Amino acid sequence: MVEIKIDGKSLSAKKNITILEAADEAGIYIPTFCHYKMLAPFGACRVCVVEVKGSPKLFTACTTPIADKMEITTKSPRLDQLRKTLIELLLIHHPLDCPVCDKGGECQLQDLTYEFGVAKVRFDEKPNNTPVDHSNPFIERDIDRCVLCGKCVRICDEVVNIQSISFIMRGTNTYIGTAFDQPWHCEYCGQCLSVCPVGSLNNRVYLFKNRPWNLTSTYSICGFCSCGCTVRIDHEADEVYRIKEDVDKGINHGFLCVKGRFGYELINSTERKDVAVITEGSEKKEVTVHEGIKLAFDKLNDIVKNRNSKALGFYISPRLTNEEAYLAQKIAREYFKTNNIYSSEVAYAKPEGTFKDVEDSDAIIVFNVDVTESNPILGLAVRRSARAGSKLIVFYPSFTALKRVATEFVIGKPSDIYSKCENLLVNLNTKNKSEDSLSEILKNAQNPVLIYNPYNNNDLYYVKKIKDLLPSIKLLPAKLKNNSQGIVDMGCINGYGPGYRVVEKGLDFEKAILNNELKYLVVFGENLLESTIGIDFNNIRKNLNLLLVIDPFMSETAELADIYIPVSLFAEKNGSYTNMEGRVQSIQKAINKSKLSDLDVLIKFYEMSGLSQFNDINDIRVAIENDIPLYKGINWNGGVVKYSEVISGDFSKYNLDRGEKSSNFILYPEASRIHSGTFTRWSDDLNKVYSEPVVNLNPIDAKSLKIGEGERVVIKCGTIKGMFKAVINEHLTKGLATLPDNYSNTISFFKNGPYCSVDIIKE
Amino acid sequence: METSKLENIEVHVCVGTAGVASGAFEVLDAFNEEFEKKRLKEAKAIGKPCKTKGTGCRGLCARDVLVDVLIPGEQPVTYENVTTDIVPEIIEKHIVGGEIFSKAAAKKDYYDFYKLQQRNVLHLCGKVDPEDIDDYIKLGGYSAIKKILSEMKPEEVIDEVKKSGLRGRGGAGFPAGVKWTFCRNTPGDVKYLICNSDEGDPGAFMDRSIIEGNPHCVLEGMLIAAYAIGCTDGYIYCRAEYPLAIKRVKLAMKVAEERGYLGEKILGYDFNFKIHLKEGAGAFVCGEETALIASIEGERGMPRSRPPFPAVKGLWGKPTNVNNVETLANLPLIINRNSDWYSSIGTEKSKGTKIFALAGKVKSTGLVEVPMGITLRQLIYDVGGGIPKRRKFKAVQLGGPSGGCLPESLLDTPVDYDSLIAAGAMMGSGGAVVMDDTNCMVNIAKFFLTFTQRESCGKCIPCRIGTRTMLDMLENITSGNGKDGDIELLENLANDIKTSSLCGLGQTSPNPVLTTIRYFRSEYEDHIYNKKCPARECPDLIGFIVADDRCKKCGICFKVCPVNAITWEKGKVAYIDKNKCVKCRECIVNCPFNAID
Repeated sequence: MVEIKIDGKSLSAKKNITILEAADEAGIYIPTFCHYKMLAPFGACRVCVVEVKGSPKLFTACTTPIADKMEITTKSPRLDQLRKTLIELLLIHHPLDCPVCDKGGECQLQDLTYEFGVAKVRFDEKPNNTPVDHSNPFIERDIDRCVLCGKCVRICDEVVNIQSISFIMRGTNTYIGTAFDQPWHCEYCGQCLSVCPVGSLNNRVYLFKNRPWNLTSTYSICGFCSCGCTVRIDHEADEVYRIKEDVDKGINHGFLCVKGRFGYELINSTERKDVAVITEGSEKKEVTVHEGIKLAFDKLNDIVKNRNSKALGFYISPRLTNEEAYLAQKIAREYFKTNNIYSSEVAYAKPEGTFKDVEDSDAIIVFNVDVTESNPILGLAVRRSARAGSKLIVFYPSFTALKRVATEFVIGKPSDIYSKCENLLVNLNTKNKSEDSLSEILKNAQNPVLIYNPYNNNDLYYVKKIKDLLPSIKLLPAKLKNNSQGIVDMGCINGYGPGYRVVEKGLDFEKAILNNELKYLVVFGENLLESTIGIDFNNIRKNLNLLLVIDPFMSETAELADIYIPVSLFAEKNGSYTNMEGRVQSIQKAINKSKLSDLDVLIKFYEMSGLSQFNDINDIRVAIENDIPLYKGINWNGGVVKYSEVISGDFSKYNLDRGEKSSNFILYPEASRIHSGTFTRWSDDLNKVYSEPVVNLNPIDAKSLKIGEGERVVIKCGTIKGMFKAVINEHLTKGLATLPDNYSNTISFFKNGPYCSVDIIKE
Repeated sequence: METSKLENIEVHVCVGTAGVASGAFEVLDAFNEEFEKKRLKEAKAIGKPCKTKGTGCRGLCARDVLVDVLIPGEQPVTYENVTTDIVPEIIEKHIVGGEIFSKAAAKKDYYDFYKLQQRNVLHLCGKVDPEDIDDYIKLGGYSAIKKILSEMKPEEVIDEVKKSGLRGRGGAGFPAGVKWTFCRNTPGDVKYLICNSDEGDPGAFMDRSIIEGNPHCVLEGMLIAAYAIGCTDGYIYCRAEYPLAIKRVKLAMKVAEERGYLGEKILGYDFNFKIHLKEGAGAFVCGEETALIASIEGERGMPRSRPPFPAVKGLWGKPTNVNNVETLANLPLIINRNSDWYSSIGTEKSKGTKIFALAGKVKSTGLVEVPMGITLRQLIYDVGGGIPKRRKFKAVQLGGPSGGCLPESLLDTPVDYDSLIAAGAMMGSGGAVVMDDTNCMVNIAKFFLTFTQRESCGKCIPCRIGTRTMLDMLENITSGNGKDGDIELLENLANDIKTSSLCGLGQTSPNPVLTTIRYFRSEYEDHIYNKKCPARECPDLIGFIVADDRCKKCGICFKVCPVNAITWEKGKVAYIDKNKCVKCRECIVNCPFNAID
């Protein structure tokens, strides 16, 4: 600790912190402009200059470390004058089009102009006038308004690590642009936009739709992937206008991904139904939601009455909240008397490591998962940690965005990757120092973390072995959906009740439908047609006597339903999600679109069933805490569940015969940061950049097949066939090809596992 | 120069940049051809064989190509303005005939140029062949590094440099030994030494001449510094606009490594040091040490905030020491001749000599090395030979775009770090631009500001926009659009830029404006209130009217006007047709009587 004085106030402050940090801790305000707490100090704007006793020079508070006995003055006529001059200088070139600028009302330049009282600029004003750039689908770039604080450039470098924009030219000609002024294409995460202090980088989804002072903010948790990012939902009149971040809240430190930031328009989608749809024969009939619920309950009730419960199944989506999932399985098991509870999730891979563990790690393995695509914010944590010095080992068939920060990157056919992994296991098992750099990194690590894909059984075999050999390694399964972890904890999986209590196993989902044993199916939120559950649902639908679908959207599965009930989305309800770290976080209802939630539907079922009543979320949470020891006393706003046995079960090695036949390509599923499953495809904005499944090919392969970018190719695996647009991707390993696995015309390639031998032919 | 020990008759031709530009290579070739033709390369011809040698800059670039003829036992003779056509005469008359070819031999003013100079750092420039390591060794080169490796501990080297009082020659004048101590005391296995040869001031060519004239002394200086600090790797950051310097230093590095002066186990001692060359890409700001470091790292050349200082966290996060070429070139001298000798030169606080690039309105433009403490008057009048064309001295701009303009009243200011700062200028890297009464001081301020605002990296607001705004105001003033209050506003803004800019470039960029306002305020006022440029340099403020009373009817203006805008007849006052006039100022510059207003 050192003793300092700021504005006459004596303070003890930690060593090695900056003047700005010390002042912040003491609650003393120093104006800043180019400073951002998640970025390294830059010292460009000079607005935070302070006086230090004994020095004629001024110091920028954001970059200068404190020293013992330092006496700092943050306000003086001299500093006021200087700060005023700085703002005046910016206003020479900054166009004063505030009335039509999206930033108006929340612009740091406006605020500082007001704060320093710059009523008149003493210099001749020469506003910039250059055309606005719209080459980026999500970000409008108006370089005229830019104040060159560099935050966008720095966040794209230090945090996102793709350096898509930089300072170009110098002096007054400096501007923020792309290399060689090419169109701006990047990961579209919008981190740059979130730190822009002025209206230079604007959210195109929000552009010109509202003024910030009209908006009300509600903090909640993002409803897309399993990262569990804290978001600020800005809304007015029950319409979501934008999703923003807060640097001080949540595990994401104010970072969001393309879905989280730009995908929200699906909430305002006009395609959402206000009525239940009932199919009778070939006729579709619209009834009120309440009538739909009543009808559904009566049908289910009849099944129970007729003692057909064994033929009734519930399929529960990881989009549901914990409270909804808990209630769904509870009513299914207790009232509808069935053990046929299904979901696309797994029970044997549970969280152990956290985002903080990744950030504090000294070695990370990213095992066969494209984490920057599947879980972008976890991907950012990995990149930041690796840039800060953590050794990063990546196993993946092709190079990913982590290539730039990886210490070791193992690519190749699945068999190559797994044999490298076998080799790692052998070396980890020997006490002696080995030649193998991978095992040496892990053996020397104090805080290693392993991020893996919990849905790939072959991977789990190796993950378990590594964990056995290296118990200190913390496992972090890269789960897919917002509540992938929570619904399993709540007991929404065949064979396990709440809290992993072993219960009598229900029927095998696929076989039971094929064999006509499962005849009635209730689906909460899952789009069975496009999820990799391994069945051709479209074909076996006829085997079902009743299909009840409760879903926010009229999905392909909902189209086939006997009864479809529309429900609300994450911004419209309360509840909680458990993310991939096992962190339980509450979501808040921001808007009301007069729609019932899944929970409301379930509560209605409860009312009709005559079972004991649950009135609100708290009633259900009490029940969960009583029922599930893991959740006993949990903090519903950020508490982390402590699991035992984070990986359990018998997993099989990769079977060469199955994956790699003599065909010319191996197809593996591509993760996409643009879409998570089928849900985000209701966002027109996301569809703008990814509207149909594409096949990625290596340039050499493409050349030998005479395939050009954007041309159509036919992919064939036995009787499975499909035609797709080709994208030539230099990062892809030769001999491999990728397709997303969650489209109705792609899932069949992956029904036997993540790898598929295919032939690719030019159309 | 001692000639008695020479075995050959030697002809030294200046192949520095100015020499080369004046045709030095052609002159060198002419000598060789002529020797060949006359078989003078063989001993039997005239007793001793004749050899030629290309040497570095010896200073008086205005007289290039300069050639020294050294005949053993005789006084060396310097020829100036040598062209290929007089080469045979020099050989015939002097080398063969033994009689000085007086038509081309340097006159008294040439030797006056050197009278007050003390050429220590440059003592070998002009004598040694920069492309021949043996020549350097023969003239005492690499003896300092031998000495310290065999006799001195690193700490002793630092003490010696501290005692010598050597201050950084890059401009700020920080004591070199103290700077080294910071870097030495920072823990770390890998430390870097950077030689800053990104000399970007307009009109400055000190570092360039040292590297071109004697690259090995820079390498030796780096070795000494590296040994003292504990550096393992060195970088020479040289601007790419110096192709000759780059060529010669590259060659020197290669040969030095072959000879064991660089690399592993230098001279057999437990001392390793490797030097890399990094070519700058044309940014003035990369002379600032943190921007230079960023540039070597492959980043955009933008300065970083200090602290952390490079001595703690520099190149690639490692402790790094950055010294200027001239600072490093001083080191072999200090080691060879000791600190007492060194500190006996100069003033109390500024020791040793300083090299200046003397330019502008001065008779002998070129590179001069003078002891610290010499007055500006001595520098300009005694060394530089005064102002040409019988014009009147007006100001001297010291320190390049970062420095200031000093008026005649300050001509007795001693040239040392602290006196110059007190006067509002600075030593800078050593540019000295002399101005006479035809120079408009507002225009001079504008010239330097044009440079700094263009070279601003754009990172911090005061430098990026502030310098540009000052320039815009000066443009208004010089074009007749100046307003009441502009001078005060310029002063205010200049002071704000000075105090709030991130790096030295911004902090010093207002100096030319501030000093010209301080010493030549009336010129600004003339521009603003009277819409007149007293020096008649700002075209918009010149009437282009011939004053009847002053015109002596000589007709020179009529002859020099390139657009025939002037009518004149013998015995009559000239008349300028303003419709034809393009305001090129040729008439004004050439009128001997200042008769055009």
